[in-house]
Amino acid sequence: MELKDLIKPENLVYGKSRLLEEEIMHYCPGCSHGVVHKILAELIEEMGLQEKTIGIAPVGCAVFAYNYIDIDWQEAAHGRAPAVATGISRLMPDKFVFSYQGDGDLASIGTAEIMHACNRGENILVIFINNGIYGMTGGQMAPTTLEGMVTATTPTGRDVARNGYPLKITNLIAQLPGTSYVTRQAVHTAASARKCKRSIKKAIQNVLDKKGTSFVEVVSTCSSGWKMTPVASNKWMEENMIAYYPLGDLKDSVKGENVLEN
Amino acid sequence: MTEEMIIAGFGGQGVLSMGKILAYSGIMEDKEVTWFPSYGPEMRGGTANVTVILSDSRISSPIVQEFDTAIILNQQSMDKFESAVKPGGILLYDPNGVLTPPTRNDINIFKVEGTKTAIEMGNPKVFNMIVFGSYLKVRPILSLDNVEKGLEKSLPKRYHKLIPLNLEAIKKGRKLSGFALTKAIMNGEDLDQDQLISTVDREKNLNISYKSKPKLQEIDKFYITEDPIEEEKWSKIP
Amino acid sequence: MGEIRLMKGNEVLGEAAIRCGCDGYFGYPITPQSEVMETLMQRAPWNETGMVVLQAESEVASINMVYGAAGTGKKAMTSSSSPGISLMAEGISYIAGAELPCLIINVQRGGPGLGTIQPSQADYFQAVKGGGHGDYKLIVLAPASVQEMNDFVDLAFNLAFKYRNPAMILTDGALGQMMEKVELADQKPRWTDEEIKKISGDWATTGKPTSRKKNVITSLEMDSNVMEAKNRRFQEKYKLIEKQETRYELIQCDDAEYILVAFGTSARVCQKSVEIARAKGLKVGLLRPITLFPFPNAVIKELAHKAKGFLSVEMSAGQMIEDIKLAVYEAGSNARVNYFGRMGGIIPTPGEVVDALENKFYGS
Ligand SMILES: Cc1ncc(C[n+]2csc(CCOP(=O)(O)OP(=O)(O)O)c2C)c(N)n1
Ligand code: SF4
Repeated sequence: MELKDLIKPENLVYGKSRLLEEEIMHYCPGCSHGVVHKILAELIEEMGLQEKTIGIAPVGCAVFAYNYIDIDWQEAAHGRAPAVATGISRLMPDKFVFSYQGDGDLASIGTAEIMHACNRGENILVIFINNGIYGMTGGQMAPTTLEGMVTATTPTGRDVARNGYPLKITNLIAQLPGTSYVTRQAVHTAASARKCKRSIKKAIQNVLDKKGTSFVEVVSTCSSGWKMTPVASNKWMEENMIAYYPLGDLKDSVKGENVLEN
Repeated sequence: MTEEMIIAGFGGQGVLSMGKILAYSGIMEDKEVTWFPSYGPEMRGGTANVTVILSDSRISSPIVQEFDTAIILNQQSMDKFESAVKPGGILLYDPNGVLTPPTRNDINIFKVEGTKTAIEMGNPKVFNMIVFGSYLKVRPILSLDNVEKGLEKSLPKRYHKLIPLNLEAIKKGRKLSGFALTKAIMNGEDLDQDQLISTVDREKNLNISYKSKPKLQEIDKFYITEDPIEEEKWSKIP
Repeated sequence: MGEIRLMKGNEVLGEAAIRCGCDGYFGYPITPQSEVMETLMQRAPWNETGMVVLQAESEVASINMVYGAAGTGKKAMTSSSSPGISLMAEGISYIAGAELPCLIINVQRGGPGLGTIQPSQADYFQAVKGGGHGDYKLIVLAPASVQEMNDFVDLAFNLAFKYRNPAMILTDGALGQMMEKVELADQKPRWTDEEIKKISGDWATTGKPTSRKKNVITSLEMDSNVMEAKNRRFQEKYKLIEKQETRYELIQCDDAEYILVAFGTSARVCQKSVEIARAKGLKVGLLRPITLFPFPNAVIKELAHKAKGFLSVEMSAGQMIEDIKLAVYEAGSNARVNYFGRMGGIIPTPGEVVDALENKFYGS
């Protein structure tokens, strides 16, 4: 049998989403950004939302997200994505608007914007990639950097006396009445990626049902910033990041639940 | 004296650190120095390059259009910088990363088997220091003492134990007289080994004019040969 | 002689801050200047001199931290690159309005917007004409070598305190990322409380003893007449700065028919262009403004009577050229003023500059 005989629709085991562009992603090997992009592209396609969707790309490694998914995008200034999303969603309330942000973008420079967008209950989805570091600028401390973690601006490890504590911003956000669904996921194994996809799907449905802000944190790796191999990063993330940022739903007000107490 | 050079290859080949050692050695020699890298989120495995300028007087532009010397460690850089060498200038390259050898006949081209020699030394990582050694041979502008000091200064303390290995690689690089062979080919001459070595000895300054077009296809025949110029002489080079 | 080292411009900025006795640095990472804060964190000066180094949550926060710190009469600084400086514009205006001495470093990259991380000089207008709201001026220094990056940190603080005015070092990604030989200054101690009392005791908010009236730092004034008077006083101050602090360098201008005007990285390029042009027999010189505010008007006026033309060489669309034209106009001279530059993160080459010179002035 020849290769061309194999390549037939009936033999298809796996295909990439039509919405994922034919672009080589600039992400480092093992980076979580790529997996989350894939999930988003799949869901937007499966839920038939391409025409309805406007994405907001952050400043951070995901700044070029607009090159990878075939939907309308706006690129926001650093940290301001929730404000930009607010503007879009208020003027086009029937669209599906999401912001996609890193931890520096969302939990440092953009803390005010995210807090107030969530507090207003803007009808948007927020994807929050928490890799505990500034990937794009070369590995400086992020607000979510773990205690003792070495970064370019904490060369002897994050010292809470100097830099404060790793910020569980998702827990704060879950307190805000404007949010309806707040969850923390990961994509480092096939199972966790599938679970994450189900969560994002639910979050999107919430937005479509106009239930206020849905917030999905994805605990992620940054092998370049952490200076580890992709495999070691996954292990380190499980042992350290997830220990501090445990996975699961923090709030599901559709079900009337405030699930986690951490 | 002003030497304007470019070192170019893949990120991770030690391009920037070779430039740094060179610059620091230059300072030890009391020269003015500028080290200007290409910067940015270079994609992994992408190209990296650094312009290094050593001079006895105040250095002007960090942007250089025509280089005195180019040290080339991969094909992309060869494509980009071969044409940027001054006529009469020097191009050193490691054939390991270069599939299409340079073709210009108005510059001095030196093939340095850095990677191959480094593997023979049992430490592929020092290949850049071997190439660096060869450079110091063809452009004798720095003394061994100052290169050693430059190494000390540019390597963080925790890597100081690697200095002897690096020095060994540099010395090894100096012995690769592949350059003389290439030069002979470029001159269109069919010299035997002894004559070649005497060419090396005589040629301290490398402004060579060519009698005929080089037979570049022949370059691949030549590999490293030991150069008998004793090491002691090196330390006396100004 | 001080310690000689090979350092990146950005690293030197951090090192020089420690050595000149700076009290506090507040910043937020941004390429191509992140090494400033990284160097400081590596050096951990809080152990040695007591200098505070803090990573803020944003540039908005950084500049306001500087506002607070500068208000105590201590040496406070921040550094950023173009988008971050835009974000600081409000805070800088407040600092100028409250007349606080401090140092702001802009390691420029190409804009507008997120732009590029490659070097640029397109924040010239922002730096010298305002940037934030209101009639204010920064003292703007433009280093052209890593050595000057070192020297200007101390100079900037001195000028800032001398005039109670924010000072800016306006440099770019090329000088920030470039390594050169640099002679570092010796460590100066930070000012003691006694010294601060002497230098800024009449305005710094250090806690009111019964011996003096309270010090209030504000830029607010509800009475327009008072506010206008304050503005007039500011303008007088800026005039004095123009008179006393203008700095520039002239290279081969004595017999020059045509004069290149360039600062920072493009001045380095032009130095070589002058060499090339002279080798071709063209009588070309270089004027390098070292202070951008105050701009070296007077020397341009003088040169405008001798030279036939000026070429403003910039890594922007032509911003400084407006100031050159103004000076030439004020001189009542017929000298021609032209522009050549590159944008978007590209540095002009020495040859390009010579070509432009020949095209524009020699009609070849
Ligand atoms: C106003 C402003 N300040 C700083 C920057 C520089 N900058 C770009 S990305 C980034 C941090 C990115 O970190 P994060 O949000 O965690 O995303 P990651 O790169 O890790 O995905 C910073 C500080 C900028 N672009 N604009
Ligand atoms: S630097 Fe980190 S976050 Fe950025 S692409 Fe690489 S792994 Fe991903």
